[in-house]
Amino acid sequence: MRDSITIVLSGEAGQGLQTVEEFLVETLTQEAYVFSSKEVMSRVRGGNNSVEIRISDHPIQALRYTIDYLFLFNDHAFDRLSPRIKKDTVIYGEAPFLKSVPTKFKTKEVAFLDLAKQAGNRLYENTAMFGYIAGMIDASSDNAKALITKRFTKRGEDIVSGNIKAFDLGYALGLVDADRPKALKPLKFTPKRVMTGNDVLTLGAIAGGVNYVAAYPMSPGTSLMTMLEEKSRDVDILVEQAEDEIAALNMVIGAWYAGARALTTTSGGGFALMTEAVSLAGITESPAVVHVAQRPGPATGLPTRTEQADLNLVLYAGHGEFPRMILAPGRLEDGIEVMSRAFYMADKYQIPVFVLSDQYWLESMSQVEHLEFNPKYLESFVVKTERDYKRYAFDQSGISPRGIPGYGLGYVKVDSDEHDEEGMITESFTMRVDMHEKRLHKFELMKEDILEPLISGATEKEKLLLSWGSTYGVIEEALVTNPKWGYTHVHFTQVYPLPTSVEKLIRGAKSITVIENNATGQFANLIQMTYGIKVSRRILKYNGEPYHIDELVTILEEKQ
Amino acid sequence: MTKFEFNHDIDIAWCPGCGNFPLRNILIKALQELELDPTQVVFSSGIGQAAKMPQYVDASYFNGLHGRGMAVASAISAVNPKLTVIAEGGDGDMYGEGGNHLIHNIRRNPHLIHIVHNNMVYGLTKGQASPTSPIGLITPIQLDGVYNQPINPMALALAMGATFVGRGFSGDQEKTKELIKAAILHNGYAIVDIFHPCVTYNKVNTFAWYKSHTFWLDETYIKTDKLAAMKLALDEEKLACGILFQVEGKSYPQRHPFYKGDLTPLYLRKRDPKVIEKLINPTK
Ligand SMILES: Cc1ncc(C[n+]2csc(CCOP(=O)(O)OP(=O)(O)O)c2C)c(N)n1
Ligand code: SF4
Ligand SMILES: [Mg+2]
Repeated sequence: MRDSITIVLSGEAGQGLQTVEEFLVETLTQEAYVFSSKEVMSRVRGGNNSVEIRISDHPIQALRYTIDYLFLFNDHAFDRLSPRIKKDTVIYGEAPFLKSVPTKFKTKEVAFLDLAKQAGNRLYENTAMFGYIAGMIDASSDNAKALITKRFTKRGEDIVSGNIKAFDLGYALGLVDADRPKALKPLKFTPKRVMTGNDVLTLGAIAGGVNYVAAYPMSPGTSLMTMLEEKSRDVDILVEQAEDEIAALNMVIGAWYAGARALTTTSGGGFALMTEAVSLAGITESPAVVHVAQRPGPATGLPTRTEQADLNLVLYAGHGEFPRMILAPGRLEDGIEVMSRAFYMADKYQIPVFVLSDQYWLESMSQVEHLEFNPKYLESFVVKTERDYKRYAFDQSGISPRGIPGYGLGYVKVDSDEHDEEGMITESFTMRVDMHEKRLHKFELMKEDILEPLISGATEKEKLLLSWGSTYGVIEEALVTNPKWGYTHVHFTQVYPLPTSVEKLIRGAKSITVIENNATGQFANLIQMTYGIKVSRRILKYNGEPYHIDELVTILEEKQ
Repeated sequence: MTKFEFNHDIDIAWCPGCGNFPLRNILIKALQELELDPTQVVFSSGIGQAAKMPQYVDASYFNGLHGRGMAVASAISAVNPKLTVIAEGGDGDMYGEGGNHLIHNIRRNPHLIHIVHNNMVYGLTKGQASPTSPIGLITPIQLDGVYNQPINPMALALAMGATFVGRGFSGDQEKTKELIKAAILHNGYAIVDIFHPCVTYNKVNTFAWYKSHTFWLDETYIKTDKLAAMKLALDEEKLACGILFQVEGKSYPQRHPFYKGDLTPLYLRKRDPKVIEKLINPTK
């Protein structure tokens, strides 16, 4: 029997929710399946933020809407969460924090602050809460204490022992909580690493050879830049904060031109400013890797929330016609392959490659078994030029070999105007057609190099459920727990161009349901256009939240 | 000496009598006299008549988007600091559409030369006002004359902390050539604003106008005095040409913590898969 519990911590920005989350997740990942995610308001202090930690005896990569245990960090931490409370939810907190909770709900007063003071300092309050929760779920106190020690060692022995004392006091109380969950830990378990989408994309970029980053901060795209800057102490990465997104992508294109493997990262609004440069990459046949971290729009939208509504933007960005590729990681571990492959494909086909993620996927913490990278993706396609080098030569391979200035005896002449083989501006109609066809022909060549979809679920393959990007985890869990529905799940990691390999499957299906985190079904439209079919059902969500497992199961169950 | 010149005829898109022609001669001579290897020189330009210059000089170039030549140039010089990088374009391109890149690249102090052909008008798009058009200039859009204050690129560059600020005039070829050579030899960002007449669209700022409104600084001028330079830059009646200001400063590769004195181009820095493996699976 599958079982899971959902713990939610609710408080203000700056109250240390994230520390408790990290402690719990790091401890639990030694002994159980765990997944966590936060939802925060777009402000630096105050407001109401919450963290959800879900623990299970089976692998999970999704959130649940209904809460089992809620911990309040202040007197206004409850309000927003009341729809998520059920009959047997237990709500914990200091007495004053529980005042706003309607009496029909089950509350339990725990004086975390007193425990902290007993341990020597009121600042240990969060550690006492961590101890309490760890005790409730019977987490290994050795693991927990090792983490505490590691975390606070730099701050001195007193701080370490004080925190451990606070932890122990909380732990003892949690152990005897009458409402604590029944045994939840899997019988057999090998400890796992927990990582965020940002972590894997950072490693993926390094595995793809990134050595130049130009970007302008915009949530949730900024973390990738921040984390690559941190890694620039271990590997050669030149990070430059651009003056705006227009500069950022132009700089990335200039960097590739001079021989770098360059990346920019942004969100929809910033990407909108980059679109002219996307088209520049198109005609100059310049590689470029662009990470677009989606958040709800239009315009500033909901800056800290999630959505999958920029597929059309990325798909159609840039004037004129030219080839491009769009990849969107779904499984957490796929982030490595997707990001490193983006560099390889950009270099190989001399095209812009987009990695499309979203706030939820980037910031959730999830478990990974083993991460792999493919050294092939480091391969460079740059050629040493001869004296008579022509940047846009019509080559048998269909792709003009790409030289860079200063490497070889030739000149590398690149132009945003239509050009001839040498790179000189031309207005010859025949040259225009030849050059344009050469560029567009790369679409054909790229068909050899498609990242195939992940197919799971029913083997009949008549009732299809299609998805892309961050919805992978929640859909998988819904289907694994409900095989009776008979869905076959086809998850697309390469969103554009779409694979021809599943054409037959899709055309032959009796019904096709597409699940997306947006309001209009942008991916469903692309599927219809590409495969010439009609999607039977669109399941859409666009309030700024990701799908929750219980919510999705109800939606799917309703219409079986 | 034929370096940077083509060994065949080229079709140049400028109007006969345009100030861009002497500018081209000046530029090629400057490069030749410095004995630069054309394979190590890269131009980056935007769009406009001036921005077509790289097409007419035999070396590498990236002729990108209107206004973005500087952004691309800045990245090229960062990625391969051994190249001689020249960002070139018109007053509209570099001071209008590309204004933000101008400001922020002066702050970066990249190792490159910024050449702006200042004809005080938008040539390619047929004569509209540019950011440097004088008040009163009549254009197809400003029918009653330009009414907005023109930009003062020299004063702006000085105020932003540029370490080389120079101005030339295509009618004074020898002196302007020497100015460009000095800019190429400068460590860090060097801006050279070059007046040149647009014979087709600017009937006010003509060759004769520039001749009578400009003068050249002589050897007695002390180019390290920023206040003196600012005074010259702010004088919009008598326009000083030459190196208005030059001091030593730390260029981008000397400032950015990435380099640590090592100017090896990025394409020569190979990444070891073992290092990647260690980052990806640290405990193994
Ligand atoms: C994004 C964009 N906007 C507008 C244009 C049209 N345009 C091309 S050149 C130019 C102005 C050119 O003026 P300047 O830079 O002074 O060059 P000149 O032709 O005078 O040498 C404009 C507005 C363009 N190519 N791209
Ligand atoms: S329009 Fe003016 S600047 Fe352009 S080529 Fe003609 S004369 Fe020269
Ligand atoms: Mg002009």
